[in-house]
Amino acid sequence: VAVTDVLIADDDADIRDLVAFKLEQAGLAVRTVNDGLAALEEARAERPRLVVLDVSMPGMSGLDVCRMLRADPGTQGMLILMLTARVQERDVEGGFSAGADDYVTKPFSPRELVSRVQAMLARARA
Amino acid sequence: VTRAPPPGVRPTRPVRPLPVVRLLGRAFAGLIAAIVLLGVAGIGVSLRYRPAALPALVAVTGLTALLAVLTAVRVTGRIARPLGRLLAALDRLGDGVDRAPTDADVAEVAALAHAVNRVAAEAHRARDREAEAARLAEAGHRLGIRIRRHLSVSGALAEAAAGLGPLLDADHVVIRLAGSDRGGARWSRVGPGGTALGSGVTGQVGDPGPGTGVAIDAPAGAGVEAARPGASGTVEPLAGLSPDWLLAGGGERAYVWNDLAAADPPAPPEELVALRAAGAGRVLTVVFADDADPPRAAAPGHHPPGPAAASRPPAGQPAGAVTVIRQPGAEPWSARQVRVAEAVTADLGRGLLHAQLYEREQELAGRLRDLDEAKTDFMATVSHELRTPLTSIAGYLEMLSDGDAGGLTPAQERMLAVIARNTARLRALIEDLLVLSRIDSGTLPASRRDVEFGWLITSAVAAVRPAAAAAGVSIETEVGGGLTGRADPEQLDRVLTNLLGNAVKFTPRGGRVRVCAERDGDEVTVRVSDTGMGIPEDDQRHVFTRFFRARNAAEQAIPGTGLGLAIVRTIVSHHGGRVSVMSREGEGTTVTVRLPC
Repeated sequence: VAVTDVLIADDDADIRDLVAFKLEQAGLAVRTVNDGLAALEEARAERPRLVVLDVSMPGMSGLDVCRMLRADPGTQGMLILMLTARVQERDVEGGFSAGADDYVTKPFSPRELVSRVQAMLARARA
Repeated sequence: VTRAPPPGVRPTRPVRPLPVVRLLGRAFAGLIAAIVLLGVAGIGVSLRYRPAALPALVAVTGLTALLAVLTAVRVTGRIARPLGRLLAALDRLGDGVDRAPTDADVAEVAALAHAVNRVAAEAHRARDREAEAARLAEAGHRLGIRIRRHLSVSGALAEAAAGLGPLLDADHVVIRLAGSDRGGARWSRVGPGGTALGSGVTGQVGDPGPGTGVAIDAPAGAGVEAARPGASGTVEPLAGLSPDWLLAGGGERAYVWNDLAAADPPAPPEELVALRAAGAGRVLTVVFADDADPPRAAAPGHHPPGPAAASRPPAGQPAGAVTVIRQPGAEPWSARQVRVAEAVTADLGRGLLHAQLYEREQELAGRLRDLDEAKTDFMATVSHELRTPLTSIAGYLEMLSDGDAGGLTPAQERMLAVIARNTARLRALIEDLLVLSRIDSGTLPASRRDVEFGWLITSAVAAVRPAAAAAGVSIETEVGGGLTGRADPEQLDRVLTNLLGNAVKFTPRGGRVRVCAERDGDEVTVRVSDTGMGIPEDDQRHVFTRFFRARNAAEQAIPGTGLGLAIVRTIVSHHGGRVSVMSREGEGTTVTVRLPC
């Protein structure tokens, strides 16, 4: 059975592929979905160790997904990293109050994203 | 009011008054003295010629003298005493409580008492009327103040409609606004006792909507004959008048007294039903103008009192009319009530004008607010929409450069570097534009806190130090202690980062950047100076203009958006401060920011 390390949810296919490429290159097992609802279902089914969530997705936003994952006992321990196109302070605060462990603002450096993900996973393992 | 005596009449010389008692006393004393004298003379005569008649003479003289004394006492009592009481009653006339006794025995004195009582009663009534008029005027004045206090048209109308009924003893109050250029006439009315019957806005002129009140679409000239003070008219033409009727009679105020039975109008509009309910009641209509400076304040004496003053035309354009209606058979309107109605109506006109101006201003402010919000929303959307593709461009670019897709030739690397540089420029441009638009619209959270400038400067310097080290530029700081002020730390950090970034960017390898901050009176002065390329003199006054780039910076292809200093100036001026630049081309630049502390 293939274990999923990281679940990536972003409605932009190019960014999804970019993140997946870099994380796979770093040796992680990756799954991708393109909206919030699928992210929630996949997270519950696959139990990845970390979820990369885009904040603005059609339908259910990344913040909503984050809150629901935190409310569910089966998924509340997952690491969550938010991708946001907004740099306003209150958006960042909103992300943390929804329960995110870290956030990266767009445009981001793929290299930096990978090192953040690795650091989060290492911290969780330790 | 003191009046000069008419010419030819001299003031009467003061005469010493003589009480009637003393006058009569003197008269009777003389009479008795004469009787006694005559008696003594008669006694003397009878002693010499007829001594036998002496006793009779003495008796007659004594009796006559006694009679005279009795008469004197009686006359004095009947005339002097009632006169005295009359006098006392006249003295108390001012209090209006006493009546002079009319039971005097002398007819003339009794008549005088009656006359005095009539005058007293008349004076009493006059005083009551004066008090009533003063009360009415005062109540009208207060109502006018209440009306003018309203900032909304509907509030002023409701206040007038509710207040005019009780004030003028009217059963109905109808207020109309000339609606031709205001998108419909308004009306409101009250029933007996000031209860509101309804209010609303009519349709456009000539476009009577169902159930929306009176439609002002009758031909001009209807009811014109009613537009004269004292003239009579009917309710119907009044209800169906064209807005032109307000101008009827050459712009005079129109007074309409209605006292004739109405003919049946076809399908009367809502307001007409109410007016017809009043039947052939008495109607008074006063027109008001839209002038802010009404003629009421005219100095007394310039306008003689009476109908001429009442019909003075309003100074501005007729803006509407107030109609008050009494039940059939009610008292006609008194001149005082008409004057109070005029005064209150003039106040309503002014109040409505101010309310309309205020409402228009509010509407404009609301529209600007909406526009501003739309602009902010737009900027947020644009920023998001631009950043998403930029993320892909920058991300894939980085992967290519990192060799994630295989090795690169030196030519390919050079080309990718150009793309990377321009991507960074595009990104900076988007960020700066977003910041500027947020500051402009006030949506950038401006949280004023007590900030320590030294700390802010230290952290901003720390942020640019890596870039400065890479560019071979040294940074030194000289910051006084205790420099505090109220500011948004995040925005001030942006100011400092922009200024330090510029200084490092425009300074060649081996150059120096210096930051100093000090208190200068009630201001904090922050200077960022460099030993860089400087700004050409002609360009110095443009550097705070959006998208402006100095000639030498553009020529040397130093990256930049031309928005950095514009952002600095916007933030600084939002904090109540000033920013200035001093530079010499080839030697360096100093930017000085002064902030209140």
